[in-house]
Amino acid sequence: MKETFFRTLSWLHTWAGLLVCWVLLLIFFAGSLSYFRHEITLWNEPELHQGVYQDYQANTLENQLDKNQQYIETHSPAAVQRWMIDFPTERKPFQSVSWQLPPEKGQRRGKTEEHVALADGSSMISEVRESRGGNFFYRLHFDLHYMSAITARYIVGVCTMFMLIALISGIVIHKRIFKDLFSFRRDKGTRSWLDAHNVSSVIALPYHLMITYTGLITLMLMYIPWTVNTAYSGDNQAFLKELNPARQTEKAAGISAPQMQLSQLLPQVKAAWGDTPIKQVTVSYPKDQNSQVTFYQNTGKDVTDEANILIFNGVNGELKYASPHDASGASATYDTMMSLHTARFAAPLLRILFFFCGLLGCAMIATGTLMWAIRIRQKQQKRLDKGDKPSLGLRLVEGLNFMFILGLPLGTVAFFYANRLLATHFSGRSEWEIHSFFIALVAMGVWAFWGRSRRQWQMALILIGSLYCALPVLNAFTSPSNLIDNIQSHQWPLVGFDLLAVIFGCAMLFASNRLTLIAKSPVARPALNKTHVKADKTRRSELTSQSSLEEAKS
Amino acid sequence: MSNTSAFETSTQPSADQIRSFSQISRRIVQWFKQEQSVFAFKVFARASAALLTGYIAAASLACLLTVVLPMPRLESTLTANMLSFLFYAVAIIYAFCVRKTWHAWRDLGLVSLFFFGLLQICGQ
Repeated sequence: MKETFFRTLSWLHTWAGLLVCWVLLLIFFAGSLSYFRHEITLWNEPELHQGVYQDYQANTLENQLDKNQQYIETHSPAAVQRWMIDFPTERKPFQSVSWQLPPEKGQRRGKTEEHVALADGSSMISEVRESRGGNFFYRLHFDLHYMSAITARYIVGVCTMFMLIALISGIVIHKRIFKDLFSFRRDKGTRSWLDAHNVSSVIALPYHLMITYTGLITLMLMYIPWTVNTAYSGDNQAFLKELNPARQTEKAAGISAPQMQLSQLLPQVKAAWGDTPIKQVTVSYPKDQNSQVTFYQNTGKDVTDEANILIFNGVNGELKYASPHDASGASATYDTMMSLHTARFAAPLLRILFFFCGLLGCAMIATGTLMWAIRIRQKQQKRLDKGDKPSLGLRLVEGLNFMFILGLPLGTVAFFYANRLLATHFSGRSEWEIHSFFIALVAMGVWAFWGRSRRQWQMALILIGSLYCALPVLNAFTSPSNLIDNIQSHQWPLVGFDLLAVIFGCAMLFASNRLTLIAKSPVARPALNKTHVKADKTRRSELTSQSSLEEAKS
Repeated sequence: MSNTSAFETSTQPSADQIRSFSQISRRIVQWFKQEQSVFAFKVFARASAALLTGYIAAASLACLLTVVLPMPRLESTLTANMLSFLFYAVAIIYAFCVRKTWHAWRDLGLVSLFFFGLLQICGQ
């Protein structure tokens, strides 16, 4: 393309990164949030914030199963497709039963109704507000929204491929990868932006490569289905059956049969697994001749994405399938790749590290686009000095930067506010929570249309920062327990949510504060000492301040 | 396009029509000779080679691997599929780095054909 290999890759890095950067930012942001999918869902259901918190109790399993089964049999409608009994786990610390209704016309899956048990066992909570919770962000990061999932996944796939190319070319053009890890030259205009881009990329480089490649692998059978076509001569079902032998192919027979007591299966489960905790028990086609009971093991910290299961015949209790102990090399690799992407194994600290790396990814993309905007502005500086309007390209890039970098956090906080402020029984409430996310995003776009100056960034940051800081207050008023209660009752997911919101909010307020400081004294201050940037937002604040410096100079 | 339809309707093209036609064609040639548009064309050619032929090359190599690898078919399918994105990435970078633009199409096309041919031979 260009004269040298190096310059070609440099060109490729710029364009591969920039063409899809805003979609990538959305994917990275939503993906990072989905590390806390269950925690966000829990926060979004304040009905469950009190009285349901309990630990897994191995010695009363039999009793619990009987009780839950009886509850489902008396409370669920006759024609349900599946029963589910969930035991408390580290991330979903409550017990619940749910059932899936048969799909309505045009739907792939039926609706699931969930009832959560109170910890003292006195009754069940059946009235929980309708909310997609963390699942919204989880779906958003590969299914997008307002379009069919298939189309969205192809779009996401193409963007991910661009990302992979940008990463590879970025590594190649990066001559001093080790040295740059330790250099951050503050208040040096574009140089600082480049440093920030380098630091955020290089610190989490293994993570970026891993998450991009494993992201492609999670949907690889959709992107490159030809290998299956070749090896199985087009018989997709045969492949899926081999990949996952537990895949249920039987349908309901339509002949009713007595459902066996689930607790009678426990001795068999104990024989196979010992005292390892059980995560879930499901019954497919209950009270049917083809009824099937599946026990899911709580795989805990194992690096695996595959469920460790036991399947029993639901009528006579015969063991039909048990997950094999050792997988072959290729399947184990595949499983590990998938589980690295989803990080279901991650204990709280590791999960926070993953989340932090994800935010560094956001920072990498954001700094890249901001740097691009500054470079275009510098090129047009002469024209701008004469009082000409900036070109359409520059306005577009700056506007989209403003919209996405500020709009995504604002959308998220709008989502949480909508969750608490919309009427509980409002019929389309879960939909409107999502709409409010996108309304906030678009609102930032409209704002960008009117002004994207340093002053506007500052105002937007103050707005978003204060909204985040006020989340614990909102929580205290709209849920049965506030931050202090939650600390006392050891509800760490809820405590963590509030704390993280405050940290985010403060970081944004700090960023806007830095903008003010620089606006007042545009002279570069002597660098104090090597700034090790602690959180993404803090870094972003550094960056924002750099941009303001840039503008102050001009 | 409007010129061609004008030619079809009237059997004897007027002098005006011929003049405007030659003007337009001259302008098109000029546009192609501009440095900027040459660059744009090159980018388009290489990008399409990368995305399209690169995909075909990567996919056919992956298919070949599923057949050739000495493993059970589930294993070989998974292995080949997991590696395919690496092949695709290499193909894309190759398409942009090869010296002449049309070589991107030629080389990736030949590679695809080669792997496809091998696949046909080994697949039997």
